[in-house]
Amino acid sequence: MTKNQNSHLMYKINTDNLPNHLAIIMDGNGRWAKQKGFLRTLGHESGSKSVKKIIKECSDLGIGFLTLYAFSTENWNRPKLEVDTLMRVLINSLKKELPTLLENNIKMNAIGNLEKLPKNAQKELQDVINKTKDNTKMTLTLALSYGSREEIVNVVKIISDKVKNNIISIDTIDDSIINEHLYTHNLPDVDLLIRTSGEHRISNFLLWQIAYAELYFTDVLWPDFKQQDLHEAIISYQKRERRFGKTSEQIK
Amino acid sequence: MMWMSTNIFYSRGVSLNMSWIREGELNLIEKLSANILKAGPMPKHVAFIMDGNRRYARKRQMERQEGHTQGFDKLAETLRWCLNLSIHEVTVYAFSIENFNRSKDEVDGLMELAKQKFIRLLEEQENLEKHGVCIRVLGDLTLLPLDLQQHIARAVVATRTHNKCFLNVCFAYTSRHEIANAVREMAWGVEQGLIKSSDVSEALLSQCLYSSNSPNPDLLIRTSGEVRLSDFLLWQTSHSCLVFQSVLWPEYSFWNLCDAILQYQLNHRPLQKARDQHREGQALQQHEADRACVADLLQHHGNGKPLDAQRRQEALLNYTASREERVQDFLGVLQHKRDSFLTDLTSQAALA
Repeated sequence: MTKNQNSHLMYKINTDNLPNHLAIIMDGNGRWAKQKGFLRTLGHESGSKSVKKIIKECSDLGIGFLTLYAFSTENWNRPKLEVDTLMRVLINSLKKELPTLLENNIKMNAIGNLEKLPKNAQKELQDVINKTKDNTKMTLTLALSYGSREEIVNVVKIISDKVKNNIISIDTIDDSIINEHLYTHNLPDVDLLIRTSGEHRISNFLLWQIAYAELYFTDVLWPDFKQQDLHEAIISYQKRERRFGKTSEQIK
Repeated sequence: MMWMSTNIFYSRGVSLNMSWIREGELNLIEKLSANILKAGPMPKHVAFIMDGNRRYARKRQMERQEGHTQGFDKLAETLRWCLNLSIHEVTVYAFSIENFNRSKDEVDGLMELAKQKFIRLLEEQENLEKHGVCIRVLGDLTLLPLDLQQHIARAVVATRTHNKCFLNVCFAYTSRHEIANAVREMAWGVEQGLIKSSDVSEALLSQCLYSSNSPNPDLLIRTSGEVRLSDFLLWQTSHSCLVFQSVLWPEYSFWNLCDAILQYQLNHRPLQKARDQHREGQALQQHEADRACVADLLQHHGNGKPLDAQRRQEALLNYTASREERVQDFLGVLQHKRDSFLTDLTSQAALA
């Protein structure tokens, strides 16, 4: 049990029924900054503090896999200043948080079109991945330069080339072959997807992987998202009956 | 004779075999609300996960099958409301491939219900033509009993040319299965030399899905309180407004629909912005990809001398044009395969 005096909800969480793979769309940095009269860039700095808190909390709770939508393919089109800030925040966070990851036995993973990241960001990321590769408590995956549709299109190209080169036959192409070629091939399906800041859409994130995930939308803006908000999401998840196409009677 | 054929008997009483088309206008208050809504942005394509039939039957102490039947009636009513609200395309999740895992009784009951409904549909052809209703069935039809496949094929072929409104029924469907099917088609296209691996793009994948003739849904509504997608239109709803309502499907009302549309309107601006950004990004990406292909070609087939800007531009335009033609031809082949599958089923049905 964690010593988290801030959340009276802790006692309500059933540690036997945690989402094995939790994914979060960390939306609302810009809106938060605007509300407070700050520059957007300060919103991203503030957002990175929430990231740190939530990673620690998920690890303490015993969640196996945490995936964060850090930077989407669409984000490359934002103003250069903002993109540069985001890359800077990323690199600094990676450097600063490595000790915490090591202390907490957290393995770093990344998905997306990573080659589009600036060279120094790629290098820093690879460094952290290498140094944490033997950790086993929780796998933390950052979705960077990531778009789900692009991920799937990439899979099609790889599979098509394999078919052309007689490595795979067309008849064997099914859900599991596709799964094997996704960036997330070594991660289980998502059990719970949280999106902050009140938007009710998925926005090109893990479209394939969330087929049977419980979705949780909250109006809280990402820089304001705390351990308590995470607990509320998990409690909501635990109240739900997951049937995967069967009936209630069949799953009992 | 006709009266007899329009009745289905259940253990708890008689239920009329209700039509797919509901005539009727909205009442005054409904009309007023519709007009208020229509002053704002309206979804053109709405998708429904019609969940809650069984829970409804339990609640009303009916047979489960009756819950499904009433669910169908609610579908017909909802279609009517959509048309009154000028929503011309509706996609519904009627039967998931995962539902084959349910009890044999329930699955057989659902197959029988579907058969009756498609037979009824064919009896209403005149009415469907009058309202311009085009019915499409999205899913892996080969998983269904042959007679049901044939009824579906006849209904789809009979309404193919109608174009005033579109009902897409997802039956024997899951999104992953749909995507896997599209992947197989594209891999086949590359294997056969009809398209190149570099031709594969988001746009092409969208065109290879069962839903290729429809724009993406603007709004997805799921009833009965569950908040998940359950393997439904995962690709197509990437930028759709998602609305989850706790009402059970057979109890769905015009006001529930208005409420969902209101949610869409409140979210409309950021949604539209996100979609536009994505589309622009895609166009840029395609342009870059074409440029890379041209550069590659010139490097391998050129005489070593760099081309001037004008020649490069010409080469790019030529490449883009030939890629688009190649892709169109490939899609034509796919369409022909699908059409043949349906017409084969209808001619089998005719011979039977």
